[in-house]
Amino acid sequence: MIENARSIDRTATVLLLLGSVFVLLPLAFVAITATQSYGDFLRNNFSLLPGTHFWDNVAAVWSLTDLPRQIMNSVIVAALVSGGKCFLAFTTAYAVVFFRTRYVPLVYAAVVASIMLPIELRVITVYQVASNLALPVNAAANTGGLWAVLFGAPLDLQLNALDSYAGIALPLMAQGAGTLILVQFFKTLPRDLARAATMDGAGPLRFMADVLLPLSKGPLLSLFIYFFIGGWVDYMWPLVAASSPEMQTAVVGLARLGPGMEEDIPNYPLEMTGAIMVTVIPLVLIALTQRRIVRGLALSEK
Amino acid sequence: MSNAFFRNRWLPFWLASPQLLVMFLFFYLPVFLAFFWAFHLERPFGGGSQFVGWANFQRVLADQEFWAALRRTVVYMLLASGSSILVALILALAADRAVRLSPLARNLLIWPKAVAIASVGVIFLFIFNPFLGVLAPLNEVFPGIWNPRINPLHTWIMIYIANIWSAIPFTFIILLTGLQAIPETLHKAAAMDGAGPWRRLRDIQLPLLTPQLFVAVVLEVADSLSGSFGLIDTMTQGGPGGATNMLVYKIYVDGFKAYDLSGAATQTAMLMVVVAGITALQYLFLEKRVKYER
Repeated sequence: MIENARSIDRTATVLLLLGSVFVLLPLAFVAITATQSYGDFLRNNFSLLPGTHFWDNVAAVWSLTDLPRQIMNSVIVAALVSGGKCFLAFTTAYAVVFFRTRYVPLVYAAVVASIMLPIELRVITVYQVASNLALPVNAAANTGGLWAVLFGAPLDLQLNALDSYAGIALPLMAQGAGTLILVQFFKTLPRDLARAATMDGAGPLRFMADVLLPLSKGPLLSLFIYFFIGGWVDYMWPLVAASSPEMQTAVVGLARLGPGMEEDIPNYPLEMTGAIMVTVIPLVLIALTQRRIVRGLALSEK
Repeated sequence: MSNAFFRNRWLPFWLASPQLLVMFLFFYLPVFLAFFWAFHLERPFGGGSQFVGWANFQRVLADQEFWAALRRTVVYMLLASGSSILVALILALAADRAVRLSPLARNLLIWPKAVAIASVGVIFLFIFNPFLGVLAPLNEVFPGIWNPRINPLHTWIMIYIANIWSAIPFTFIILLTGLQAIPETLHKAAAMDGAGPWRRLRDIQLPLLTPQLFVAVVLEVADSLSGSFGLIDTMTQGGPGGATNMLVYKIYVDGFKAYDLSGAATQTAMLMVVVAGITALQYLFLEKRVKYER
């Protein structure tokens, strides 16, 4: 340290302590409440002492609600979203950085512009598209009544993606942040990488698969974890895209758990147990891979 | 683009085509459709569309609730992003000091990232429950001193606290990374010239942090808007008495509960213009103050 700054360090410690308490306290309340039985909870309301009923509550949530199935849905959807985003970002970023072709900057701009309007802003019409993926095909075929003239009736293909894993995951992939981050990473690679590979007789696809992909393992893994958590915690799109409880994701299921309970006083111990079950996978991921995620994110704003 | 090496004509297009297809279907087409439906009405019984000019806009703009929701949305975007960035900045400045608690705090402060905004809503709704939550004892002594179900001010306080809790990690990471990239030598040189910690904060750390602050502002403004849905839907459903009905939530209700496709699309189109405008303003006015040189 530069000067004798014990008072500053003390202030910093106090601030960090306050911040950590602010972050941990709600989680502690959740954990404590999840260990109470409903009867205890009704008698004592909110309590500061942990109870002994956590596993009973877990068993109750497991057998009474759709959460187990919905947690499985979340794993599948988050993996699809994240894997899809990483794949799309990788091929696009490769095309953008390593090719000298004229339209490439245009592709890049079109992809990155999508960061500006998150899916929460377009949900009405994304829903319309997802309810019939053939919409643009129909529209193109029916321009000027062409199809009706040729075949007697307007083209009306139906391809409903709602209430399916693909229908939930695909619209969430339409976001350009991954491409942006990988483009920044590719630009930091040595300039003559592609030249050297070509001299060794590798074509562009070979170079992508055998040189670039192994080099990008680290950033891709960070991105995958980050997008996995992002896909897990998404709420608005999975809420409208899945109409049946069997297809809903865990976060949606948890939010629907509360008001629907029949008791006058909500069974908060069960609800908080559900909150823990819904959150534990991404929370463990983030606590264990914190450094990797931070490094992956830091890549993005240079 | 120094790395550009290959000259194939169509290969980059094929490589990017899956991405472009996804973007077309779920980004550009929906944006187009929002503007399309803003100028059309759905014919009843699924009979296609009918061009109605500006009629949808006239209807929406004459609706008092739209203006109220828009005002709430803009105020919320400013206050929510401002408050969460301020808290994250203070914590990042503290974590930048090499105190013993710093590594642990850095890990802990990122945890809320794993909790979905809707789950945050569920959790904080319980914590702030006037009769069963942490403030229930206070309510027993002074009945009615805290009731977010009736008092809109209390409702907003609850929402802002939940939002700050949820928004800390991302901004904290960005700002801390920026702070740590500031060379120690600058601090030393300034200290030798007699600059105290406050002076260094004002003249070195904050100016050099402007690129990260800019990124944080842009992302946090957008995040507060999209996150508002999860909080409002789980905590208040727009209540009490419509006091927390923000535009994203109103559009959802109009479109999915009232089946008013054109009305919802018209509001979506206007919200898109507002968001694009705010982003443009940020680049015009804020980015000028960013110092990229070190």
